[in-house]
Amino acid sequence: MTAGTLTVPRRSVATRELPEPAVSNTRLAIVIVITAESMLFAGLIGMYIVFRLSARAWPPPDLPRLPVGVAALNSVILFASLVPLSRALRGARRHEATGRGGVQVAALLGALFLTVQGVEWLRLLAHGLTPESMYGGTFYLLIGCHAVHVLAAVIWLAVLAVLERRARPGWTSSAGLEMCTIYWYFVCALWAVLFPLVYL
Amino acid sequence: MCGTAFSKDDPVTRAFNWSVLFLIAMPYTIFGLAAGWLFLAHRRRGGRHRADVIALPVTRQVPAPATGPEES
Repeated sequence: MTAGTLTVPRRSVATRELPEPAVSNTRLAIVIVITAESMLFAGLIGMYIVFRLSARAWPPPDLPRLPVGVAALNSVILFASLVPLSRALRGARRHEATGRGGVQVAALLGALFLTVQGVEWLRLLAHGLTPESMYGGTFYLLIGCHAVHVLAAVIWLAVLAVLERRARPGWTSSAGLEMCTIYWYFVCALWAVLFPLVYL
Repeated sequence: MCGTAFSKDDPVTRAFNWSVLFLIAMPYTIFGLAAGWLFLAHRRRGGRHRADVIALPVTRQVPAPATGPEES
């Protein structure tokens, strides 16, 4: 009797692809962030409602008026940035090169929005609208808080634009861009609420 | 409470009332919107994702019993 070799057949395990979740982790994460941010702004708006409705005259007659025309033009710049960014996201989702420069354009428009707002703030400060007054304090707090969010989003967009330039050809990932776009939508929607509330 | 702390027609009372109402409504609105979006996303997804079909073994055909009068 000769000793033979025993071969154990390998069991073939069928790899089964897990179904994609209904809501991706990136989307869920950014929605949680936006929910928390919305609560912050709800608190600030609540504070603003108290000051505005309790005041005998709003805006106070001895303080300079807010530049509604410039702010309206600035709003157009902010909302216009949504177009190239949405196009860039659509292209990234389809793994296409269309709208690749959209991220850069949106970042530039966001930076322009911040610059115009900064110049207007300097002019208002020079005209005597300081944060010491209730009117000035609520204005700078609300609009400043929004500006900080826009700044964060612009930095995020700039980082994405740099990463996109350095990426290998053929490498596409829409997760980061999707998160940033959703955040940018939130920032724009917030401005659509804050602009009529504070300026009009 | 605002009505008792201040006079009824005071603008401060009115301001606090509106602010309180707004702050009561906002959490429900924000979390409701988020929950609604999640629900809709899952529902939309559920329409496409179906359970696996289980292959059952083939059954043997059994002839139906005769339904004639009983034989004695």
